[in-house]
Amino acid sequence: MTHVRRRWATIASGVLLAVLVCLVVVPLAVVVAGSVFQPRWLGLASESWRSGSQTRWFSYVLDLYGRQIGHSAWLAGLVVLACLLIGVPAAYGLAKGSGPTRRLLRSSLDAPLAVPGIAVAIALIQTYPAARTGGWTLAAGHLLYALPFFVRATGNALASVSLGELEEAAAATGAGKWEAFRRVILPLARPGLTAGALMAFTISWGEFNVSFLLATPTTQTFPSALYLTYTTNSFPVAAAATAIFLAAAIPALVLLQGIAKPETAAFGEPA
Amino acid sequence: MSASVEIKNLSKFFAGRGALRDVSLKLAPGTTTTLVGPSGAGKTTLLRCLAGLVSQDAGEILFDGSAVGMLPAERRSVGFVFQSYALFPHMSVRDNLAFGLDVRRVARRQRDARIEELGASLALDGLLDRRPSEISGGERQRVALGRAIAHHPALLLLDEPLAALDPNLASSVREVLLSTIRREKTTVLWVTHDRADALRLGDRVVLMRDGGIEQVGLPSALYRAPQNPFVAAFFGSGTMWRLPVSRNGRGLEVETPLGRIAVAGNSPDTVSLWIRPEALRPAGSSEGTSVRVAEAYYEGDRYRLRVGYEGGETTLEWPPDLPVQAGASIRIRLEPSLVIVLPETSEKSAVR
Repeated sequence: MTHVRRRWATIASGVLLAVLVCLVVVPLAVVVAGSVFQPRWLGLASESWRSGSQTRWFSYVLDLYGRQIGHSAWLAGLVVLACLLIGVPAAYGLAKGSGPTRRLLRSSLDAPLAVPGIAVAIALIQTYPAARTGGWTLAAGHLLYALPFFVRATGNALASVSLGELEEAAAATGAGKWEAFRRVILPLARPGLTAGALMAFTISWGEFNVSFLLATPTTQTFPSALYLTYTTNSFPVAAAATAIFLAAAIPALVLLQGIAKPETAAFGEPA
Repeated sequence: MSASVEIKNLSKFFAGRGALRDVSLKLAPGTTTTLVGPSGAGKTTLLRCLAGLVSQDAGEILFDGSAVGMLPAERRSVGFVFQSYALFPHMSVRDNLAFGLDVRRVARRQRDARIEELGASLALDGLLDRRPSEISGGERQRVALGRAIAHHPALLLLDEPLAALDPNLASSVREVLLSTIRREKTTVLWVTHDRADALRLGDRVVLMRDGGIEQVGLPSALYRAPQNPFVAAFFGSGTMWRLPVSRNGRGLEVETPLGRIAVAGNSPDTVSLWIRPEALRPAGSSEGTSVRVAEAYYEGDRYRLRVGYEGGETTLEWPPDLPVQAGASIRIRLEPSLVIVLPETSEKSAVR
């Protein structure tokens, strides 16, 4: 009985894996391969493009989109910083708070995820028109989407230990608030914090909906630029741009996987 | 290092209910005081007030004469051992032990010497580089004690440190904790719910009930001279007899259901006697009183008997080499020196 069930489970997970590979891995692989090998069936590149060696395609893209790439990286860094400054206290508050306050805080943090990005973007433009030119609304829009994930990850790390008791132990052993934060709370939050920061980075790096509407010509992000490449440029250029885009996102995701595992195993069973 | 501690009229209310009601207590430097009482008596609240983990609503706490009642926990020089260990899971045993030294910026050499000393004293030598999740419950509690005393606190507070351990382990951990505490000569307040622990661990024993102190004294005083039936009943089973006192040529005496005994004191009309199991002894055929065995429980090193006499029932211990069964008749006598005479004055407050 269990034997049969287990076999079905194996088959089901195999099918799921195949679907995921077909939908995620294969298309990405095609794009990346296309950017490198530039087979004829992917479409024709412009003459200036074709004349160079393969590595020149990338420098071509970097020349074309260098500013947008830089801006996206800056934006993602800013979002991570803001997450650390706002998200760590929020996660701590969530872990320590109780009952209705906690529920209210959690749902208000998660609320932006339920609102379409376009609606958030338009609301931000309407309410804070002046902030748009400096790119601050864009940063705020990204933060709204990144923060819930950051707080969840950090909060989960803190929720896996009996925080109140450990703080009492620290205080009764002579640690003031800051010492307890530095020596106990922060190290305990670190696995979730690192994972959350990487998540915030990838979310900001890949965000399109909000960016497309909020970006000004000087604050355009790389994903918006990618969209323009697809619509206006030839496919090989878009493929090369996508490869560069993935080159930043995939290492972050792999790191995230590496961190997510020890997060649960780091402290063993609760003492 | 160890301080004298004075608790003056301490009160604490939770939701209007008195968790501590006007508690006053003195702890002599370097002594161990055990704190017992039924759950909800306020033992842990008193401990947490002393540590500064909760603030009292009234009263003052003095360490060596200086008031600490308003200081936060980290400025009080206390050590606290939690029932659930509360070790820092991300630190090694060594760093857990050194926590109190590290936050006080103790020099490296001094710190390492202290950790070595504690490691040896608490039998943690080979475990210093492990994480708390990699050691056993008994070892964790030893680490918790080490962490609490490494910085030579003025007062060490233990909140039922053995309660989470199984009985065999508890006895070995108890020995290690006790020998370490004695070596450190720390002033200790040790909360326990185990009556035997309260008596054997404390230089003095404090019995609490309903947020107040019922009786304070030497272990033998609480066991042998309880001030009221609550204290008497808390430290062991027994039967209370309330009997008229009569005068004979030599003094006062009481006619009990199990024989006549002399009592000391100045002629009250009636007296309350508390009869513990050990006050009843097997008697030869020519002495004592015949009683009927209602129930006999064999416990290996003894029988525990419930016996009926004229007008009541009581329990007693019986030697294992005199086999006995329910329904049998045995002869027992009262050992006058072990009969407890309860003071009359506390009668009203005791029967609540």
